[in-house]
Amino acid sequence: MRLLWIAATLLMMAPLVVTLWLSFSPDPFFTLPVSDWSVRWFTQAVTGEQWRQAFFRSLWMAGLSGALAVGLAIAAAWVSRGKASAWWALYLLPACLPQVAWAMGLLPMAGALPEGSRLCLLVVAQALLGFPVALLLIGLRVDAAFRMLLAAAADLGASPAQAWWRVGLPRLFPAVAAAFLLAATLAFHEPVLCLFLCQPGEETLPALVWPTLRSSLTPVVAALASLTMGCGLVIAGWALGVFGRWFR
Amino acid sequence: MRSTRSNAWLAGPALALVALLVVPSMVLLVRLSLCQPAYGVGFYRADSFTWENFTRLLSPEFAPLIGFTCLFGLAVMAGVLPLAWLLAWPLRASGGGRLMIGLLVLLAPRLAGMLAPLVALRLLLPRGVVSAWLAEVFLITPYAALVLLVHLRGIDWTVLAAARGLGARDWQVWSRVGLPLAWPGLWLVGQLALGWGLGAFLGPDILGGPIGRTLATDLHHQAFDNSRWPLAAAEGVLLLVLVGAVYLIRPFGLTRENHP
Repeated sequence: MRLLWIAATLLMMAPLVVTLWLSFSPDPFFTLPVSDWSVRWFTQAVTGEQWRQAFFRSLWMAGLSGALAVGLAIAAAWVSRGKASAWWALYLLPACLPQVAWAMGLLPMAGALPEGSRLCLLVVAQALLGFPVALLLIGLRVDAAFRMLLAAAADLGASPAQAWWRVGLPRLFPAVAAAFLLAATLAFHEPVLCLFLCQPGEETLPALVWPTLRSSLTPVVAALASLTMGCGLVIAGWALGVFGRWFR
Repeated sequence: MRSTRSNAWLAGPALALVALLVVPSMVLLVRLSLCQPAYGVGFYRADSFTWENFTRLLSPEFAPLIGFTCLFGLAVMAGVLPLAWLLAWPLRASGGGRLMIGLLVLLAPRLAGMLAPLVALRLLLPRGVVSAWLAEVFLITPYAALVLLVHLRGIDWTVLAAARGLGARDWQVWSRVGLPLAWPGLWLVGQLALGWGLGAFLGPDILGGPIGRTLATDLHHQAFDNSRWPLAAAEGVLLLVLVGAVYLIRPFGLTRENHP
């Protein structure tokens, strides 16, 4: 069974390794094996104005989506007492819908919004997609012991706000940090809603890369894929590390 | 009473956002699917009503597309289930650092973004149905494995050893104890994988080519390349009906007690 697990893991990792390998090739025609190494495409990806703008747009949108997902998840986890409830079926609804159908339904809504507010709609929609992951992580920490600690703080004279600030939030911090980073990472990479809702000149990184992926692939895209993959995995690894160390 | 009111306040924001973004968008999708096309002026005639988009969608012209979408969803489910099982099973009893490393490995293809796997598959494989299928399996498996892992970790697996201690053979332990315990999770993952497979867009759009078109890729094509929003919306409604039907299928062999 262990050998099969290793085989399945290698199979899942293989495309990531191949992309990373190819992005260091100086050859613009993607020939394997790569004999010479170059960071030429990374330099182009980092210095390209269009890519850089899209990257930072994706980054702040992912940050807002992550923060919103975490805020919603803390409240929802408190209500559901860390256990799956009937509400969860509703919470999971956006993640279970076919994203193209949802995006097509959001398109007329986006059209009715004032100029420049489409990105806000996108941020909220992406937050709803990251929300189940945040709820799962934070829900694990909002257990009976957590409630007892808050009750004990209240018995000792703390107001509800003080109990949350001095006792609740420090205890929840690892889960909140991990949930924020994971929800933000998922929002950063989300392509389907961006493709439908982003206007020209307002594209996020996945929406900007999409036409290149569909038609003629360039090495700059491979370098961008490696960069976003590296960032995503480092952030997620750190988030899970923080969560793992604190969650006993 | 006070607790109920504060619970409503806390559950409210998430539910309100789901209601605000999902319900009106679905209503608009259905309404849009019942509009006439704009015939060159705008995207649709807002004040019109017609069944034309659905009659066209249910005509023989679209039968191959709908049939292929259903087969593709089933194929994705068949690919995702064993892979998700292989990835989730060894982590069912792990804890601490091993679990975190396992989770990172399990979620890596998704957390790395859709770009990296799609770039590699696009370079290594020719366009076609198999490439599109592989891409979707890569993209869906991490989520499916995570859902399965959550279910498997909720089971007390010492009962397998107990069954062996009571004289059951290996195949009996699996068929009488292990599989029935894991079955609700497997069913749920199968439903989710089929639902996500039916709505597959990324893999078929980039790697499918002209023969690997699904309802989702055709929806995008009709909306953005042909500017036929009402027909695209009708395809979206059909997709919702198909996925909804999958989630409503009554689980086979499950009682009320062990339904996930």
